[in-house]
Order: sequence, then C-alpha cells, then structure tokens
Amino acid sequence: MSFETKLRRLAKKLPESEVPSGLHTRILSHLPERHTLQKVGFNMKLILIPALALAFGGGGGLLFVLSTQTNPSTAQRTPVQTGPITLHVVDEAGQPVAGATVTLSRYEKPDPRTGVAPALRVTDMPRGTTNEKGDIGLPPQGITNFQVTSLDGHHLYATGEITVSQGEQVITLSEHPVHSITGQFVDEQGKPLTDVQPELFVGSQSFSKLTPGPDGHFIAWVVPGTAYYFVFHRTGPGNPIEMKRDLRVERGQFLDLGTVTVRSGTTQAR
Amino acid sequence: MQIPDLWLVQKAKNGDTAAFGALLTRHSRRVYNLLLRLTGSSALAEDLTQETFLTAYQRLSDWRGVGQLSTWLCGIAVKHHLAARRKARFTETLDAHEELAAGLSSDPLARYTQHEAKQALDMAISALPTHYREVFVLVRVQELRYREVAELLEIPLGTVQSRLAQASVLLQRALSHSIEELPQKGTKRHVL
Repeated sequence: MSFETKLRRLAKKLPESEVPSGLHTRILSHLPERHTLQKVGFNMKLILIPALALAFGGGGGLLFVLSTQTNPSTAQRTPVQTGPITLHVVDEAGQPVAGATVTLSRYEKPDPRTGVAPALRVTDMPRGTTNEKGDIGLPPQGITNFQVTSLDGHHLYATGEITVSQGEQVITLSEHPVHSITGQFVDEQGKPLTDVQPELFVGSQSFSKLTPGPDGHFIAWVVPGTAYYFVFHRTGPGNPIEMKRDLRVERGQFLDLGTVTVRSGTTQAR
Repeated sequence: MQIPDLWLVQKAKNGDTAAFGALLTRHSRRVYNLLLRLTGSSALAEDLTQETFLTAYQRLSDWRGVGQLSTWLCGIAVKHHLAARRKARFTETLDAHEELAAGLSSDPLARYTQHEAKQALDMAISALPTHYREVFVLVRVQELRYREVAELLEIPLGTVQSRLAQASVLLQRALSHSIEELPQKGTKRHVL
C-alpha cells in the first residue's frame, strides 16, 4: 500500500475533539434578537389524566412531567428549548424500564367540525427503545402534543398525550397484559381498504391511532376493562365517512371486529 | 431516529430555535473540528464556530436542501477562517515546513500503532504551513472536492492540487516511519 493511500485512509479517521461545553448555549444565546432565549425557570408538574386513570384502574397512568418552562411573565412567543429532550421511563416502583419501545406520533389539530383527526398524519416523529437506564433521547421538537405509547411486546405500559417542552420528561408506567382489538376494512366489493384512519378514544382522550396494513387489517393494543370509542373515517368520492362504536375488551379476551365494510355514506360491521 | 436536516431547517427558518438547537447539536462537532485543524487554536476555533452558526442561522434560506447541510456549514466556517486570517495579517512563510519535518522525524519509533500514527498525523497537520494545511484538511479530512475547495479558498484549481501534493510530501517526511509500520490487513502485530 502506497504512502498516499495510507495517508488518505488515516486522514479520514483522525480523532475528533469534543465541542467545548457551554458553546451551544453561548451560540443560542447570541441568536438574533427576535429569537433570543427567554428567561427560564424550573417547574414541577404532576399531571393526572382522568382517562388514563380510568384505563389503568385508578392505579396507574400517572404522568410526571419535570420540565423547564419559560417564565410566564417574560414569555412572548413559543417557549424556547435549548437542547435535546430525554424521556425517562420508570415503572411504578420507580425502576427504569429498559428495552421499552416508545413511539411518538404527532397529528394535526382535530377537525373542529367532526372532532376527529384529519387525514394528514405527521409521520416524521422518531421511534426508539429505552436504554438500560430507561432513557430515550429525542431531538427538541418545540411545543407539540405527542402520543406516547410504550410497549415491550408482552405488556402495554401506558399511552397518553403529553406536551413536551424542554429537558427531561419522566413517565411513570403501569404494566398491563396486552389485549387487542382486531379487524379488517373492506369496501362493498370485499376489497381491502388501506385509506381508512381508525382511532381509539377513552372518553375524549385519544388513546391510539392505527394504520391498516396492506390487506386492510388493523390491530390495536388496549387495556382490558376499559370502555373505548372506536372511530374511523375515510376520504374519497362520496366521503368522508365516519363511524363510532363503543368497544370494551374484558380481561383475558381478544376482540375481533371481523370484516368492517365501508360504503359511501354508510358503514356496517359484520 | 434521525430527523432530516431539511425539516429542521424549515422549522428553524420560522424561528424555531429548538430546531436550530438540534442542528447545532448534530453538526457543531464537525464544524468545530474543522476549525480546530484550520486554526490550530481551540479558543479561535470556538469563536469561529460560534460565528459560523450565527451566520448560518441568518442565512438558512440559502440552503435549499441540495447537498449536505454539513458541507454548507463547513463552507461558512472556511469563509470565517479566511476572514480571521486576513484580519490577523497572517505572515507565516512556506519555509516553515523545514522545521516541521525536522521536528517530527526525530523519534519515528515512538509512533508504532495505528492509534499513535493518527495522533502523529494530527500533530503533523497542525504543524503544516497554513496554506498547505487548509487544502489538506478540506480535501483529505473533510473530503470536499477540489473544485469546492478552490471556490472556498478563492484559489485556482491547479493551486489546490499543487498545495495538496506539497502537503503530502511534507507529511511524508514526518510520518513515513510511523505510517509505513502500520499493520496490514489480516496481519497480527506484536507490541514489544
């Protein structure tokens, strides 16, 4: 191997220095005036979402949010963040939950007329797995509502909407066996439909948003003993179509809705 | 799990400093290390990194998603480096390479492993005369194209090639021992 070749190879692998601590903060603090960082203060919140409390039998579903927020007296615009967000997932005993899959989804605001999510789903949100410390790092996203679902393949932990602001979000999860609702969307000719947007609600709280597979099948992880509203809509000629059903899955059961036939203007579940 | 740069840039253009913070976290390391190698000074590299990102923030509209964002940022960094160099009225002569070669060839046996060779190369690069160092860092370390480097440094393409060749010669003098002794693929080494 020639010297030049070795030199090129080495040059690409040179050790890199860490960015000096404080440089990021210094840069952000020097951004132009209209985007100047606002004074921040620490705030501890305990949010109890009633729907989740119901879902977890009153024993879980607590969402602890430790965050830094802009001082209300100085906040002028959207609260500012200065760094990545860490979700810290712990169980009810406060122990880190490693290997839990965390899926974040963001949706546009519900249609004020129908109250349901519009067809457009924002799919650029990350997905990842918590590390051995129960942490998962997220890029800062601004103040946005996220749907958080954590599932390890055997047990459903929790899901709910949170407002991610800055710093660390601590989520306390309750463990429940996985139960599911399944079904298949088809049109009047029995052809599978994939452009239907089903969603589960607990009360007025969005619980889970689903995406049918290429054969129209869908599956939703649910918590047993909980009352859900199953809502779906579809856009297209003669549409949108909406359907609402009350669903409840008892412990130890799996609910299969079977074939859900979607017709223009009407819906029917067989 | 990485969000595209273009998406973050669009958010940042609308004043979302969080999105800009994400870009900063993602790209500052490369920019800082580029400037560290170009200037040889951590303090100056830090200042120029700050100027680079402040400039980038104001000119985000100039980047339309064509090419890599990091390359665009490195271009801004080089411009700031050149401006700082001109401002300081840099007067280093190209004869400095004689001192470089003499200094690095004094103990070639000390640079025995690949890790040590990398460190030796890093040192040798920092000791190169500025004009050679700029070209070498941009072409070989940052892997920019000759034409891109020529435009950034505002020098003819032929000058880029000649400076690069000269830089290689200077580095060869200093590093021949350590690099020639690197383990070849598939061979084992025994460290004495």
